[in-house]
Amino acid sequence: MPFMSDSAQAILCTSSLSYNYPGQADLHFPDISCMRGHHLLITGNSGVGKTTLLHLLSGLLHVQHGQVVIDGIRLGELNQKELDRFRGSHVGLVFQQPRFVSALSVVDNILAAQFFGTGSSSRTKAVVLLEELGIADKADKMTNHLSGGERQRLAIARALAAGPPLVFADEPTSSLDDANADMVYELLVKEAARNGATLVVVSHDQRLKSRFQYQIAL
Amino acid sequence: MLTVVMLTMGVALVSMLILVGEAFDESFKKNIKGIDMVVGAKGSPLQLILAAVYQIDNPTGNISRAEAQKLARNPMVANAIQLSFGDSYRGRRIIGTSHEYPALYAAGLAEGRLWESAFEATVGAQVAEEFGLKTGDTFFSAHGDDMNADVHEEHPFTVVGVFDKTGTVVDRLLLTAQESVWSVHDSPGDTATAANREITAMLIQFKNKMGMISLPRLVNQQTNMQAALPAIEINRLFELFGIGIAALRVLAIAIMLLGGISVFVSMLNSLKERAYEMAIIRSMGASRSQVFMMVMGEALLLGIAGTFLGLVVSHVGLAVLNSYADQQFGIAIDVWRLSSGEWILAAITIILCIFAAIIPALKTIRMDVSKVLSTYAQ
Repeated sequence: MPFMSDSAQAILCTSSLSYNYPGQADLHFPDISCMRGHHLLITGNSGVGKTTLLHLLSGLLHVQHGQVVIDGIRLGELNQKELDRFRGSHVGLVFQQPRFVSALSVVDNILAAQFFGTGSSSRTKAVVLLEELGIADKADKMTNHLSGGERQRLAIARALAAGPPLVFADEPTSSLDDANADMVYELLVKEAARNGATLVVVSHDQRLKSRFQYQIAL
Repeated sequence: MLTVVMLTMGVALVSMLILVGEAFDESFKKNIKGIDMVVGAKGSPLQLILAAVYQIDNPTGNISRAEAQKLARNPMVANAIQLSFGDSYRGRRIIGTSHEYPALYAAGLAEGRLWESAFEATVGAQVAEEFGLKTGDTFFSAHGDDMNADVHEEHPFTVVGVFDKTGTVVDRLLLTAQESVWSVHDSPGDTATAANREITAMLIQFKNKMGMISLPRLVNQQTNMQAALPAIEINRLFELFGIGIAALRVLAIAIMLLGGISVFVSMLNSLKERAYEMAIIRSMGASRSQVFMMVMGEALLLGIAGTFLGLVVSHVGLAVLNSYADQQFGIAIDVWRLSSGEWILAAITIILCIFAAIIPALKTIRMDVSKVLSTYAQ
């Protein structure tokens, strides 16, 4: 379906963002302004603060200095509980090494993400999501019975489960060969579009540089 | 999970201690119901009670029947039952007494009737079962309580009835007329008459509580007999065992504490291993209080599972031991219900689990999610 973009509305916006870990030098980040549907690639070498930036943008770290605004909401103004809730409903996270709640089945992991993000869960919607990612047949299996590729797909499904407007992916292709890297990239973009989410990828993978129209270098 | 096993064993042990303790307690109380005072030969009052009421131990001697009967006529005495010991059948005691004795324990008849004349016996349920006695059978008594004592060949007894199971001393006794006991020990040419017959003890019930104040003193000071009060002697007995009982209590508490510590350590470790998963859950939007509730919920389930399994193990174990205990001590434990002590045990166990989980739960919600996620991300 064609992606409706509210062109005046930035889905993600930062200004004067910097962070300090005790005993280390300050990390300063460039201002970001990301529009809906304009998938963004944030590049930089290891150690330059990509993970820190990701955590700041997703509300896993409290803003110390500067501002992060997602969908019109200033993260710095939320307390811990509000921040958790906000993250659950507005931000989907795809980590480099997919990890899940091992005591829950595949579909239950999706339901959990739905619950923590929106307060309710729907098995129907969960199964539809799994179908989109081609792993619906594994719905009732335990997560450690999945292959590497299937785990990646589940990670993407989980990130989209609560219907967030933003999906962050941390080094999604770095450890994959060309063919798989390609496949994962295509999957991310396709699913983000299908679910109405804007994709922000944080990665040092050179192969992605040619794919993204919008990029920021750290 | 090891913790569940530890918790189960802890609960099972304490539950068994509670049930066995209660069974002993109840058994002791059941057997002294209706007996306010016991009169017998001078000596240790505890020995008299054990012998005359619980049918354990030898009596302190004999007393004059005439003197005892005189006491029975005292206006403060509501009821007086005479007991004559001396013989046994294969280790089980034969007592010469009146029909009031089985009536004291509300002993009904499973078959046959109560004895009337000498050498007729009505036997207790356990005795009948042990030796396969039924109405119409005959047997010979032996002197004393020893299984291998001399058998009195001259005077066979006839079983005229068998009592129902009562859960009291009656189950292990053979009751007959006092004449049987006297005849057996009379030699030809004895000039024993009604006047100088001896009996072993007399069980007395007071008309009212006033009796307890004056009668024992009267007996102890003005007669050749002694008066012992079952309630007092049994309390004294428990005092003697006091150290044992206190030790058991300490043991029970130690077991519970150990269980609690085991839950604590196990939760601490398990949550450390699952830190990354907890961080993922937080990243999905779970608030700290939600995670806290999750951890507490786990502990609650653990407590409930351990308690339930522990009680099952304890009751099944006791059911197996029941047949042995019943035979040896006449004590049967009702395994199909939970005593109030066990409900308290269950509540304490669950609360203990919850308390043990508080610190691990707090540690979990205080974790630096960002740090944990980046640490494991490589």
